[in-house]
Amino acid sequence: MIFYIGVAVLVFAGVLSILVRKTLTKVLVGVHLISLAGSLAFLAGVFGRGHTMSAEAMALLCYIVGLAQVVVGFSFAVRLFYLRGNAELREVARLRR
Amino acid sequence: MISFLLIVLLSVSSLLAATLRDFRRIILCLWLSQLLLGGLALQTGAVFFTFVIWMLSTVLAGVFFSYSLVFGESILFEKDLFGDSGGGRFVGSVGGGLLSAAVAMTLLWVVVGEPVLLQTRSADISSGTMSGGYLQGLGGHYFREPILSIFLVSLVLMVAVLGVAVLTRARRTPPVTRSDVEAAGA
Repeated sequence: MIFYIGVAVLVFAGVLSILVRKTLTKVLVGVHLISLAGSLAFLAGVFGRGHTMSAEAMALLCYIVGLAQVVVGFSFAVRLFYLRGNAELREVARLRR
Repeated sequence: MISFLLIVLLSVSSLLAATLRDFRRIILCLWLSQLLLGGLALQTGAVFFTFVIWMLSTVLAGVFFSYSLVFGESILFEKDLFGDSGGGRFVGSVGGGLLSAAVAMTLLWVVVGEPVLLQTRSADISSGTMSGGYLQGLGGHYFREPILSIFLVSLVLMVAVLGVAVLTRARRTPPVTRSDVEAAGA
């Protein structure tokens, strides 16, 4: 029972973080909390009902979620630098005129 | 009892991570949450899963910190949940210290206090070839596993991506002047 309460608290915290936060990294924190809730639900299944799902598969899933967060943040960083450079080029063009 | 304590601490630190505003505290709370989740996994005997969770938590804490620097979020010292006054800062520091101490003690209890589970597991998987302590034998066994090697290579790639992200961080460029435009052939 306590496991499922923990899963509910983690999902609540993740959704709260995604909905309330306005910055990208804090939204990533919410996604991370929800992935933690998924891992806790897996552990709840192992503890409570004795399910024998492969822990290696779950580890792979956790790893993929973490990698996805890194890639999303990196792509947004590249986009940010592109926009910043673009704004500087527009400034040069404005000065030319 | 230990599972109850782990889940309570996990819930507290995740709620703190969702509500705090200072990014360094958020990262610390997230890291503690994942360490506690690894402690829960260790209780089931899933040592490999625990190992991956603890490694990922450490790498992701570094990733989040770098991204907060890249996006300029960690330099914003917003008003925190505990307030910016001296008393509020004291409450925040003591609360953080107590949470970290509780996490450290609980993890120590999981690793050291219940060695029978680990001993049985490591004895099963290494079939009596261990000569040193059981944790060292367990680590040696998992380092010979091909899947763990793949995970390690992938983690190195992840750290490389992080390094590229840090290196390509935008520097503050000086403003464009008229002489720059003329030098560019205007």
